[in-house]
Parts: sequence; C-alpha cells; structure tokens
Amino acid sequence: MPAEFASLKLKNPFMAASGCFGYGWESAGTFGEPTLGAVVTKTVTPEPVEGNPPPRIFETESGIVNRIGLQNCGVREFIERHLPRLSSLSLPYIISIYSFSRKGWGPLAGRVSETGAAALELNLSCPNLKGKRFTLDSEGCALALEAVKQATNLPLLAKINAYDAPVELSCALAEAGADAVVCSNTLPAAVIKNGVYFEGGLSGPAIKPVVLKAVKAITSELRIPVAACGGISSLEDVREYSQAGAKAFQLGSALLKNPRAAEKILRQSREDKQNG
Amino acid sequence: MSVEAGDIASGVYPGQFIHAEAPGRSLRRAFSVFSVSGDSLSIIYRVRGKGTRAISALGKGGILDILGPLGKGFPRPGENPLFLAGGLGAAPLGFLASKTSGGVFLYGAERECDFIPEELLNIPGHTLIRVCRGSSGETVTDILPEYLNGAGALYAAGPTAMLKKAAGVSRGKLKTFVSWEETLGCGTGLCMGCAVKTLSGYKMTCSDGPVFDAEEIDWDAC
Repeated sequence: MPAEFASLKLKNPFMAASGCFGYGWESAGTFGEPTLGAVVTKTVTPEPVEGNPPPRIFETESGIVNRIGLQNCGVREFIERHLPRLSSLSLPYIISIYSFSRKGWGPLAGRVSETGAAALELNLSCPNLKGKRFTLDSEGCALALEAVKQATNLPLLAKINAYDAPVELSCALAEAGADAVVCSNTLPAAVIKNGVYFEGGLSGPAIKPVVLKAVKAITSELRIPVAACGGISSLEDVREYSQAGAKAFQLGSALLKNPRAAEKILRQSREDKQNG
Repeated sequence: MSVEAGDIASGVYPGQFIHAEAPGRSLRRAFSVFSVSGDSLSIIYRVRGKGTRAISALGKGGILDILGPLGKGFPRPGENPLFLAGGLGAAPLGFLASKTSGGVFLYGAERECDFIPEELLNIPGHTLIRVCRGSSGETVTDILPEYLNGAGALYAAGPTAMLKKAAGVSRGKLKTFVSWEETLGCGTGLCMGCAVKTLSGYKMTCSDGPVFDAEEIDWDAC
C-alpha cells in the first residue's frame, strides 16, 4: 500500500504518532522493525524537559487522557544517544520538535535537519503546555513555521489540534510554508482520579468524531495534505478518514494497546482485497 | 488465572509482569507473574474495575492477548531474605520466594479473605507471618523492625504507602528492593506514562522497573 505524502514516498500511509512510540527505535528490539510508512519521534525540545509528576495516564471510556508534559531528553542527547539507533532502522523517521521560545524554533530545526530525517513535525498543539506556549494562535504558529522553514529544506508537517480553530490555523500554516498538516494532537480534557482533578489530553476512539470533522473541514477548504490522527485502529477508521480527505494516518493510542496495530490494519486491507 | 504462554512463561523472572489486553478497554492491564509451570504462567488478581472484569469474563479456555515478560524483576536473593508483601504484592514475592528458602515472609492484608491461601502461596522453605489489619488493627510494616536483624535484604511489594513506610524503616539498615505500582500506558517505556520520581529524575515503572532499589526512589515526592 505505497503512499506519497507531502513529497515523502512511503511504503504505506501509516505512521506512529509522536509521543506514542518513544524515540522511534526502542520497540524494534522487542517486536521487530515496525511495518510503518514512517515513525514520528517523541517531541524533542532544545533543552531536556522533566515532564509532569505522576499520575500521567488515565483510561476513560473509549479513550486515554495523558499529562506526560513533554518529557524528553533534549536535542543534544537525542542526537547523541537516540539518533544513531533510529537511523539504523530502514524506515523513514520524522523528528517532532517544539520550542518554548519563539527564537528557539529555527536553531532547533537546524540542529536536527542534517540528521537523515525524512521530515520535521512541528508540535504546535500539545494541550499539556497550555499557558506556557506562545504558539497558541495562528500568528504564533505561523511564526514558528516560518522560522523552521528558514532553517531547513526538509518537508514540514504541522501538528495542530482539532480543538483550536483547525481550518484557520491550517490556512495560516499553509501560507507560512507548511507541507502538510497533522490533525490532531490530543484534545484538552480533564479527569478526576481519587477525588483529584487533573487536566490532560484525550486520545483514542473517543476523539475520532471530532477529528473527523476537523479533517473534513480542512480538506474542504485547503489543498494542503492532511494526515489524520485520532482514534485510528482499524481499516474502517482509515476508510472514514480517507473519505474525509486524509492522505496519511497516524496511530497513537492504538499502538499503546497493540504495538502491531498498523500490521493489523494492513492485514485487514489485504484480506479485504482478496475477498473482493 | 493460568495462561498457556509458551516462551513468555519460560522466560519470566520474579518481579516481571505481563501486559494483558482487557477486551473493550483502551489500556492493557499489568499483572505480576505469580508462578510458572512449563509453558503456563499464573497471575492473581482481584476484579476491581472494568478491565479486570472484562478479563475475568474471558472464562476458562478464553484467549488472553498478553505481552511479556516485561520489566526488570527482583535481583536474585541471597541468604536470609526478608519478604514484605501487602495485598496482591504477595504474588510477585511468592514467586520470588519460591526460588529460595530460609527466609521470612511477612504478609499483610486488610481482611482474612484477602490473603492468598497458604497452599497456593506454596513457600514451604520460609517462615510465613500473616498480619490482618482488619482483625488486629496492626499493619505488616508495624512488625517489620523486629525482623530486620540478620536479614540479607528486604524485598517488598504492595501499596505505595506500605513501600514508603518500609523503606523508611529499613533505610541504612538493610538493602531494600521495592516493586512499584503505577498505571501503565504502553508497558514498554515508549509513552512515558508511568513515571516514578527517583533521585536521578523520572524513571518509567514499566521499563526501568517495576523493581527499584529503594534508595533510588525520591520518597519525599511520593
């Protein structure tokens, strides 16, 4: 099932969504190299981020709320420790990046752009950073995109949130030079555990109807290619997002439950074709 | 529950866990392995929520989708091990104790019916001491200080509050290893959902643990 997405030539249209597959290489030792079109790394920032105190993950009806808080080792350790292993895999990798400061985006993109990555994904939409990010609005996101565009020639995927005026934001990002939009990050949500209130991001099947609407709205208005991300775990999900105009598909929560979720969908597709 | 698990069963070590799909739920459920016999492994669980209810509903002959063995287990015990189990923490410790003898197994539970039956626990080479909080008002950590002298190391599994108290009692006196409990996401270290605060920053319960040296844990943050 070869696919072309934002000038990337992929063996299939499925990607591991950022944050759900570590730095991309770790699972290969346990489960073998994944049958994915590409992997998107955990978001890398200029400096290490410790992340939120536990609890960080909660199961809800048909979904998961997480509040990881962007824990990552920072770009330096990423390049030194993770990149050699990631680049030893045969599948393309996309590095997800985020900068807390406006001026940090360009240098960060510059540092990871000559590392063999197939593309960069700008994380413009992490709900666990609300209040700390400057990329909250279209203007801020476009400025980040422009800064990255000046620092690299790699294709740029902009990961947005279906919750944040997705059409307006996608339009601004397309004008700023984004090659594709990824919709969506987890949606802002909250849970109460043992009487304590926690805010985080909701993912999984629960958000699919919301993301489906956003994907359809973007693809109806704009020509920018869209990768759908939100509750994809079956061939039926893929078909529905396809119908809404998505050209690629990122798996997140499904990979937490089943590291072979993409293989399952590909198998369903093959069986479907054989059965006419 | 006993599971025909092939290579997973033969490769498991005490303290490691399996990650089982709970039909209809978004996250898998982690279970410490209680025993291994040939290609079968067994786990002990209590039906407490929707996940364990869904797993329980599979019934005899049902197919349970599991990943494993996962995580880092207990180090191999030396002489005179001391075990401290709270509730279902007796499962991994029972497995560990079955690999050795000559130790003391302190076992606490809220109610008499919460104890894993002695014949099932099956640790004949050890002195088993049970403390039922509901009937005596005493907790198993209350009696822990009496057993520190002469012990080789302490191996503990159970609720976090119990582990914290035990680590405080044994600190500076006895090497202590604790099996940490936290809600897991992926179970393989990829999602960073099961953080535990250590003195060297956050580590992941599933891949750095679940067994940690008690001296590593930042107990003030727990």
